[in-house]
Amino acid sequence: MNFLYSDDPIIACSTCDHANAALAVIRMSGFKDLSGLAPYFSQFGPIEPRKVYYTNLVLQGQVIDDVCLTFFEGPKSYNGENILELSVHGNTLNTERIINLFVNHAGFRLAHPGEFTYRAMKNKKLSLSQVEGLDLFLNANSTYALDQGLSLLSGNLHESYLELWDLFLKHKSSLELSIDFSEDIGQAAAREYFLVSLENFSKKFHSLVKRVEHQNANLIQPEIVIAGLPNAGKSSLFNFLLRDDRAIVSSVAGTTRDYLSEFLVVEGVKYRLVDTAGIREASDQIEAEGVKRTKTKLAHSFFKVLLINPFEMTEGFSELLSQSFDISFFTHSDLPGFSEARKLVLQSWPELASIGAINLANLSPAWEREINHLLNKKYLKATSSQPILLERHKHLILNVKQKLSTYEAIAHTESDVAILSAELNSIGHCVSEVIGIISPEQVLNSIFSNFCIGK
Amino acid sequence: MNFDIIVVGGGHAGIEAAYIASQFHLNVAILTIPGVGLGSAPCNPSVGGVGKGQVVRELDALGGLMGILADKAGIQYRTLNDSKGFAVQSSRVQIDKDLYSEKAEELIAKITNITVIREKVESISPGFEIKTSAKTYSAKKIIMTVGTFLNGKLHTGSEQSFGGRIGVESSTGLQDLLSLIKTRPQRFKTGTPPRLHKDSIDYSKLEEQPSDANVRNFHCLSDPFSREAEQVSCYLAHTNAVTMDIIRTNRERSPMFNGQIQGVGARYCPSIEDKAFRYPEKTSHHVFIEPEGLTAKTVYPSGISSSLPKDVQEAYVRSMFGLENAKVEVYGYAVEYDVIDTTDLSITLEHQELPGLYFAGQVNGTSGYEEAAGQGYIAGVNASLALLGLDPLILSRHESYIGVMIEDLTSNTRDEPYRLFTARSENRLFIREDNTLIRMAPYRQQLLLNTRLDQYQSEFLEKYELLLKFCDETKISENSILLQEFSGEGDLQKLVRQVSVSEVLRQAWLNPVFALERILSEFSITMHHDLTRTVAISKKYEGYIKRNEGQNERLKKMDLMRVNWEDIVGSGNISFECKQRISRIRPQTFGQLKLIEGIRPATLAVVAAKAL
Repeated sequence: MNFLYSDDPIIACSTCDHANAALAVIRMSGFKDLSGLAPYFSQFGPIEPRKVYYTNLVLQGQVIDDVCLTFFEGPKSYNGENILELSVHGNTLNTERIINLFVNHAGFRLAHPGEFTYRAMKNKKLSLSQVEGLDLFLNANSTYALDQGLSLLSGNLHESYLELWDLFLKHKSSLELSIDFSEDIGQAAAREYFLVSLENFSKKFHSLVKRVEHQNANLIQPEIVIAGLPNAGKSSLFNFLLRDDRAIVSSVAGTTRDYLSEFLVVEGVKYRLVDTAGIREASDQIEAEGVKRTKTKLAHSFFKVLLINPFEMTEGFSELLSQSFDISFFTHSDLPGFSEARKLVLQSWPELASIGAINLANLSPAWEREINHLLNKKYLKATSSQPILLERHKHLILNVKQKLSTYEAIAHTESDVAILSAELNSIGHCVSEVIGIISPEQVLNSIFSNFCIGK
Repeated sequence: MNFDIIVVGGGHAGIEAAYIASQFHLNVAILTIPGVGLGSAPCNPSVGGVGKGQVVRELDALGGLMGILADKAGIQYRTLNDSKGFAVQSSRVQIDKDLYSEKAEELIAKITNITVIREKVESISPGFEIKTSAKTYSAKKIIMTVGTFLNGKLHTGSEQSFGGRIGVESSTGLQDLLSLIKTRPQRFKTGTPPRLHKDSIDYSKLEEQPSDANVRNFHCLSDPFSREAEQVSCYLAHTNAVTMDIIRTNRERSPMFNGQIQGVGARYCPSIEDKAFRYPEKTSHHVFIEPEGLTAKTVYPSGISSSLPKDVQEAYVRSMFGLENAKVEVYGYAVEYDVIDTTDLSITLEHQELPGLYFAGQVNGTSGYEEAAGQGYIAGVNASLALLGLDPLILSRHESYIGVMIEDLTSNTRDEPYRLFTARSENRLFIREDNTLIRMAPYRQQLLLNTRLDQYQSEFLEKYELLLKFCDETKISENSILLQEFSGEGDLQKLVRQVSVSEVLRQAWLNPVFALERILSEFSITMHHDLTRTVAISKKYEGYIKRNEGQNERLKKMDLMRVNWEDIVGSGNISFECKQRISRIRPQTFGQLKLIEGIRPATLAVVAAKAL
């Protein structure tokens, strides 16, 4: 609940829901005056409250986006504080980048859910009965799940965080143990418990960090990648799934130089569908770059589809097959000589015997249902074991990561336990926002239940 | 006879309350059981310890009694956590129990406005009339420091008797008044070990722990290191597999485990039975052999408190190396007693149902002489201030361990006796032993208590500021011999350029106290050792404390914010359950409100936003 006492400038996207839209509104609140923000806008003359201005958003001379801004001067604003509202282009990558700009350079922090409204209540702009979402705000600290509005994840999510909470508590206890109970427990035992508990917490925490670092490519915007050798029919499948002619479909191998991507919604989940350049030993540079990006794409993608054209097999295929795919098909089943070509392929790669064949010219809805079913199954499984982290939590976790590495560095050399404990508390402030607050009483309970205390 | 304040009980809480109340020139009485000396120590023979040493020094700086008595009777001094950094170091002194009580009697007897009445209480009326076997007394304020005497019941094996401690009956006269107030439904339990004859122990087989000459005496006016009493050693013995087997095979005869005792003991102070049954894999436990006095014939084996039958106590004691021929002088026993619900107390320790009645010490469910004395001081000062129509004294948890304790006690009930730990404080780097005077002296000065400390403390505070300034403003040039001396060895960073004294003191590899002493001698400045130490350590932690304060600043202000619990309860915006909890505890500050168990975040938010 530290944020109850905090009046830092805050920022959030008021419209974003991890989906692209034409426009998004980013709201900033609680800054002292506009002068601190001037460097980030190309034209920023005298701004009158409640008037709309069109300007460029810039960072270090580079234009980030063109935006419309409106300034509401406190106390005559929604929550009584100075508020700046930016209407920006609604691509999620764009809004994320803009928010990061103000967080990293202008001293803003990401708002807690409901925090704008809380400030409105605090400044007597709203009465309690008018405050919707206050519960969400107040519970955000302890029950992370509510924050996400993804109730289907809450069980596992909760468990995962409880485990982290418990490991942090154990480590904190180990420090307190060596201060308050060193006579009871002995120096050596206390030291060992300290080191072991630090290692356990650190391990668990770093697995979370890993998740955060790989998350973008994975679950927040899960990607379906269609891969295959040149001319395998990737763009045809892409267009079929989107019912669109966006990719250039041609029979000249290597038409798609880079990858194309579009959004595809399956069972309410939004995927980024990616059509890649074919992987082959390319001679010209653009093609080589495309191949490299394909490999990267595959490594980070959520759902991988492999298409195989039995008529055009090259050496690169083995390399491609070394990746694991969620689903694979032979294509061009409508062409004469398909069976023979397929047999030839199976001689070299017998493991492909069980995969099906499709006719790209006449793809059936039943086939589409199959792919959707597989996709949805995989998504549900993945999200139940890997909670989705929102931007705010990612910031917190990366912040903790930084502090933890400083702490780990001194944990082995600093003999002043009080200083170690102060450093750990500073981590604790961040940790508490992710996993809930740990009280002294809980630390003592942990000590008493794990050790024979009392001389 | 009429008094301004009657303190019922002459233990550590009682004498502290009476002593400080007498400083307000009020007419004070201590009403205590005949046959028991003032400030007696029925449990372990020591004062101080981790978190507790700080309390003793806080009391001393506030003009209290405990530090003075501890020094008069101190026979072995130790610094706990010596190697773990200044902020967590605590002093502890073994005391000669008889001497301690004797000095308490002497000191109290000299104070003309304290009357000591040694009579048994027969009844206390709601109008504050106290009837004893001999007389009737009346008081404007009563401070109850009755320890374990509320329905006290003693256990040694299957033998049971009523009393607050061995040989002293519990006081039924307390029941009248206490029937008007709420006690906790759960009784508490505490225990003592068997006392051994000091000549029946083979000390050559035990590890000796001599007195440490480098521990500063508790009383701030005492010469820091010269002791008033002769110094002796403690010894360390260990239990073994045989010891634990003896206890385990007698499970059915243990009142703790056969259902005879229902009271809850403290997890941090388990009996030897607890250790045997809760940690079956462990056989070696520390047993500290502590002398009970210079002339007393008994020693106190700390770590083996027990309510087992006498023959079992004898057997397990003698199973230990060095204790083979030990003679038990007094058998260990457990005592079960009632405690009051401290959430009914206000932050001044006054009972909210019965204004004018204050509670302090073990009756509040705490353990420890130091905790008792700390509460006694707060109750004594606040009862006096209330009589004089002045504002109460509230110590914040951010600046003292006494504050931590009072806030914890009055905000929540606990399932076991309460003891201070440094872990209970959020501000450990600041509330240290070395700077107690900086933290507490201003309160004493403001209340004009124990004015003989005035000169020393004022000078200390003044010079403290000067020395801080010296550290910040004095530069040590790069050519100075001092820099070479202070540079670290090997991989440690060298001090190569001109630095301020403050910067030197922050270096991780330097002992800041030695470094500052060395610098001052180079500059031919003479300062009191205490002052050098306080400044050096303050400088060492300055950066950490500032950061901590940054993190806690708003929190701190918020915690001290006065709240009106009646307004909160009257508000339409708060859940029924929260209202019930709030009206029971009646918080006076936001900090207290926050500590109430089960309080909903929404309630806090509403109060914090002042949006009732």
